[in-house]
Amino acid sequence: MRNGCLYKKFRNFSVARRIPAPDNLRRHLVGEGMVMKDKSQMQHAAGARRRMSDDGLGPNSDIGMKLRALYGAVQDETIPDKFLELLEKLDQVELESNAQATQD
Amino acid sequence: MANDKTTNGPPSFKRELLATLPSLRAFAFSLSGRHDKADDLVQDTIMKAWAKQESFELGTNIKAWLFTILRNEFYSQMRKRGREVQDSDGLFTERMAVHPSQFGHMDLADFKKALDQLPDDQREAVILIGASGFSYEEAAEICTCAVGTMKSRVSRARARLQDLLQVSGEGDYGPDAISTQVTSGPPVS
Repeated sequence: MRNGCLYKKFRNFSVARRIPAPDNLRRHLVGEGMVMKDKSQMQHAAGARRRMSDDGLGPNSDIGMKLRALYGAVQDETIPDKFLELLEKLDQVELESNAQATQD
Repeated sequence: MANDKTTNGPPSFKRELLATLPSLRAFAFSLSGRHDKADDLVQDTIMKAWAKQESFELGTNIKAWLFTILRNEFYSQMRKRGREVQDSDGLFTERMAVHPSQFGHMDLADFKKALDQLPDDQREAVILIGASGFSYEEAAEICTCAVGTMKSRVSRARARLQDLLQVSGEGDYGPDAISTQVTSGPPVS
């Protein structure tokens, strides 16, 4: 419904944060010329820790740690190749249709 | 020689999307409770996001944007099919067994079961805040609710999880619960 405008709400938030990428993805990103910025990762982690410390989900909380262990287990998995292939395909289709459009 | 290095739209959108995939998968798994469902969700999210990438401004918070799309997708599918939680994801325990973690994998399997018992709104709240690293403001935007609502969902979720984990397996959990609270955090050896 109003999804089309959702991005506007996110405009004020900080630049997309980087998270550590699994190996196959990292290779892909490096191949694309994308550099992962370790510094911003660390700053983000520090910010998250500060914030969580007062809601019982901080570094000393059993529940917080288990939440992150569970989440991290999936996050650290190798990204299935089908997603990388899907993105390649989408990109390809778009490039071709753009080329088509400029020719017309 | 103008090649794709100089075009500024799609290639970098793709990179941003790629960089967010790991956490997007983790979020999808947290919502759906299953790997196969999670990957279907991620695939649908990629397609949707790609189709409306014009509505996204590069440099803004793509993670929150993608999480919003995935979450909407999840709830619209759930309305159609219902949530199938029960752990047919036996794969899960297997996968956890090889993941390096300070917790035993059975411990985390119990935790996942407890998480699955939470109402959907509380589960997503505690994950977005506790694991995905969003601020309350961002999480509230993603879930289209008030910041105060988000806070109370998180605290109810935490209380409920505490209850569930203490009740399950009293015997083997008892002494450990205390020692983990005291000694929590990685050892500084």
